[in-house]
Amino acid sequence: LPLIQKAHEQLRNDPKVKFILVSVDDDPKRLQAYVDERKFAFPVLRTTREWAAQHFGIDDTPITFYIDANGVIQYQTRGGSVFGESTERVIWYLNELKQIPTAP
Amino acid sequence: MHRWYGGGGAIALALTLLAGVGHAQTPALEKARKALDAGEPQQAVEALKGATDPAGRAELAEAQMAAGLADEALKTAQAAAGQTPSAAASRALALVHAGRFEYGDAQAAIDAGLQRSPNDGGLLAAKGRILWQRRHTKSAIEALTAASKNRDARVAGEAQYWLGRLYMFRGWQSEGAYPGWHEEVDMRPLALAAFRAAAQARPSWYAPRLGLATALQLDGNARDALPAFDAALDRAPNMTAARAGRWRALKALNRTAEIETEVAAAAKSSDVRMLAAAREGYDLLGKTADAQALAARISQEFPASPAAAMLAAAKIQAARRANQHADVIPQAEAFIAAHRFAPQLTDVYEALVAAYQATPSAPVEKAAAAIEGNVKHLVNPAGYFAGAAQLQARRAPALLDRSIQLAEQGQAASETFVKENLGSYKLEGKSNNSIARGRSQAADLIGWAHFLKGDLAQAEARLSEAERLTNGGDQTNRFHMGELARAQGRLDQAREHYLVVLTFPGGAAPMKEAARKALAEVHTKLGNEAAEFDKYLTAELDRRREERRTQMLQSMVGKTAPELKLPDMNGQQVDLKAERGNVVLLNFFASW
Repeated sequence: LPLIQKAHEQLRNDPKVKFILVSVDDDPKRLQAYVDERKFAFPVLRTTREWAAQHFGIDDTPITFYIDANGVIQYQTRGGSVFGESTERVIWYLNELKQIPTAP
Repeated sequence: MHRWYGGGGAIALALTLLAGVGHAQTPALEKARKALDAGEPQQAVEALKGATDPAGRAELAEAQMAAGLADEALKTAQAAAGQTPSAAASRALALVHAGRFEYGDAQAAIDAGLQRSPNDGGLLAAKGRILWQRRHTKSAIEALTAASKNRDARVAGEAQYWLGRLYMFRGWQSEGAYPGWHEEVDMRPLALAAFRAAAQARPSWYAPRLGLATALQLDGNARDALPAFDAALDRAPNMTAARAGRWRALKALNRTAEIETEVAAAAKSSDVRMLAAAREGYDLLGKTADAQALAARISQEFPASPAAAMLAAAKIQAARRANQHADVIPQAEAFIAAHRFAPQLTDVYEALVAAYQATPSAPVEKAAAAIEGNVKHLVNPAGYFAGAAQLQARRAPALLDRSIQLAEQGQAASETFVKENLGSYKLEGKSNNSIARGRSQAADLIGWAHFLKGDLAQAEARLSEAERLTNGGDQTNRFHMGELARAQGRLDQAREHYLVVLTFPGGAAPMKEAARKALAEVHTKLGNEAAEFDKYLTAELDRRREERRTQMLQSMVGKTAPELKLPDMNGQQVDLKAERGNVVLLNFFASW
């Protein structure tokens, strides 16, 4: 998440790029504390692990979907910074998506 | 592995100036302190030469250490501490030991001093500095904060300055230096404030001005950095880092002509610090040939100078990056012999260990000495585990006990390190994970050493502890578990471990080859045809990889995103569909 936040800082002035977080926390208090501390500049939604598994096939967090302008998921990455993710990668994905033309 | 100070040797060297404490000031002491504030430790040593009073001796020891006279400094500090046990003497002794990387002795001197005078500001400031040198952040902040409230402005200024250094590292450099670190709180304003407070408390000292300038420069604020560098130069005109920093700021402000004139003048100086600055200046101007010529001159004419050490260390790092191990080994050993207490030793030892690791034909004892030397100087506990693994890889029975010792030290160091830096991990789950990783690495290494020694019961206890801690997800550990199971005749289990090792992507080639061979042996022992092994293995690995792939690829790629319409934390409805036409990053997380 730190790197998503950093990517957002760099892309915040681009109206065509939106960031949405979905928490699958069981403990709302803990989530609230976390969100208060991090002060995300984009919406944070809440759902359950079950809902996320059913609709998005998620068995583990964190997981990131990159969705193009037609609503199609183009990339999906798992894991956080441990697995070689970087702010540059996040931005690269988003820039790639911007190249995809909108369907008529 | 990672360097413990991210800011470059010049700054690290230039800023290791020492400050003193005391009450009654002799003229010599006063003169020495002025010299220290101006970054001229040699002059301070001159002023205090032959001092026999306890305060003078203590200050002399610190000045000698700053001037690079580490052996004289130790003698002076020991004489001072033996003469009359005082806070100043304990402080000097501790700082000298820390500068010599003798952390155990440094700690003992601090403890002895604080036992006699628990609230002595000079001791607390020294304690904080030494703890910070070892990246024991939390305890360092505690000690420095206590010292910063001291009534003696000199002490308070020193403590503020080191707080500034600490916050500067965490504000701009730590995330690059330690992968996985994340500073939740912005330390940058704290760093600037601490340097400003230090400059106010000790107006004649160059160091806080240089710290402030460096921090402003890191912040990309060359306009404010420039006068701050100049303020440092007003106090310490020969300081390499301040001089080169001024030029960097000028370059950012596109004032290249001034740099050219000043660099040319500095290159004519007879002071090695100015020459070192001029070399950096030439680099900055892209005049590589001039820079190289000056570097050669510095190394030749001033071989023992900090500038020469810095250049030699940089050369070693370049050879390391180019994987020229055969060059690294003699250069690093020459460095260690020539610059016994240079701050770059941390990096040089790391390079030497890496070079030995890549050179299996090197003598075992030399490699072991490098590993143990590295451990003495390092800050990041990862070096313990890497060193222990390397000792084991050498397959020399005599080294096994030493590897166990290293792994145990590593576990203790890793727990201290994580606890001391919780602020940089912040999330409880994350730091617990880091602690578990240290424990699992230590358990695996110790278990494997026992296995190699033939103690299978001990090996089983520790190796399976590591397997538990990693949820069976560590390739090396699974290989070790396989070897153990095979030795104990649990062939079915051995086969499973080996298959896991081979299914994982990555991993060291020799280990994978060993796993393959062992698996072939187990396969035959379980009553299968040896000739069929390759076919069996290919089929089995394909099946497992396919399984992993389908698991991974329960992927949504290529599909239209499902409906998602949920309230956010402020109660506002968010509908993914409404974002059609925009590119969306959608992240699912848990705040663990």
